[in-house]
Amino acid sequence: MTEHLRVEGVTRVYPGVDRHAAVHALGPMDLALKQGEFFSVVGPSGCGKSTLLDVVAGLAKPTAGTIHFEGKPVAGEVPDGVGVVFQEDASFPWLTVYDNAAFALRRAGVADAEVRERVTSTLAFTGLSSFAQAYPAQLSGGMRQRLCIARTLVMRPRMLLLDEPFGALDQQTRLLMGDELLKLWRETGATILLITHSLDEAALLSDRIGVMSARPGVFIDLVETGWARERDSRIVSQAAFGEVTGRLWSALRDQSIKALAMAS
Amino acid sequence: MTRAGLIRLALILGALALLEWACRYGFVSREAVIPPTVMLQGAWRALASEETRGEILWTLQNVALSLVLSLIVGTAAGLLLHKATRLRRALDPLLASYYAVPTFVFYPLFIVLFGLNRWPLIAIGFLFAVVAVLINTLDGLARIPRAFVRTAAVMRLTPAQYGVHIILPAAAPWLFTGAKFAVSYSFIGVIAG
Repeated sequence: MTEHLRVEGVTRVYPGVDRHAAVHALGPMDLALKQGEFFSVVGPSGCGKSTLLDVVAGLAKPTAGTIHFEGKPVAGEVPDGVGVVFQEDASFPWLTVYDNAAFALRRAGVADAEVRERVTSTLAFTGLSSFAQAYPAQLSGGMRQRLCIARTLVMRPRMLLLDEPFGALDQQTRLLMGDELLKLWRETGATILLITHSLDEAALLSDRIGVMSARPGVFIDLVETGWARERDSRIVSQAAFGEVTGRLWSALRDQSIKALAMAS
Repeated sequence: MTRAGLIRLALILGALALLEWACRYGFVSREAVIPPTVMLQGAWRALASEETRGEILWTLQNVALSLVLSLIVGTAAGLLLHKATRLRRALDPLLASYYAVPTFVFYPLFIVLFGLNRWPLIAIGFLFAVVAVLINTLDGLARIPRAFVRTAAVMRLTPAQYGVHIILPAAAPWLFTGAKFAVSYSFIGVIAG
């Protein structure tokens, strides 16, 4: 597999504002993702996981270091071919499901016939076809998050950045959404970088998992899960699943205690 | 008409009938309030007069002018203040206490400034309405979810696309609230002035 994303020596320091001191949130951090890899990042609260996603997406500039996506530097804007799904519900309440999904394509000037074809197939893929004319307020939390994923997928991203997309959902729905995400990953062949605070979710979904330290976040362990590409949530009952989550928690426990002490 | 509408209409008609009855049978002095039917007859006579119709039209024009000015200036000032965070923080307490200022005391000053014509009235209506528009514009812009702003960045929208397709619809409930207040305040400012 070819290299898709390279992060080298990236740090992010939030400058001091008024009487608040500067905050060194991230790094120095190195990471290389292969084409089509499913990589998750776990870490204690406030360790800079979302900051990492922001700098990789081009939503924030790193204080130092470089990021390359498909060999080109990421500089100040979201690169073509990158889609991002946030934890918060970002569906536009004034648009129907169909119009939400078509939003970015229309703004990009894609022809009507192609918009129709892409939106129809993506809504079918995400199980939202029968809700095409509904408004987000008429959907459940899980369906709204699927809509946000659909809105990203219609752009056919080659890399998906997911910032705790299932954070607001209950455990059973998360497992089922995880299955859908795995199906989507297999069928699109996209590289996925998932930020999550759920060790189970990371262990179920990922090829590799990066464990971050307390702030400033750096990788303290990289865990290879060794799962087959064809997998679903039934692996949670396997002994190997417990071993992966056990290893993640072993690496994280001290860091979580440290993060808790820093916060109090 | 909806059931709620019918109830509303019945309440208004009931209140008018009660007032009519109270005035006719001396429970309310005629020197204080005249019966609603007499008010209606008076209003009809006044509306039949060419002079009154001209004055009403003149007042409505003044209201419309103060409304349009307050909408344009209030929205533009809201957009500017939203960007100038420090200036906004400095002005916040002044905006919060603005309606404690008795705007009508400026009327003599406006007569001196603009002369004895429609503009002092329009200025009072404008002063009364503009801050309601400004405050609601600021509120609307501040309440646009951060996820929408970040989504716009991910979609690489141009500033014009961002303004038309995200800011306007997302802030619309507050912009309309500001406009609704501006209509009432322009009427109050112009008529009371």
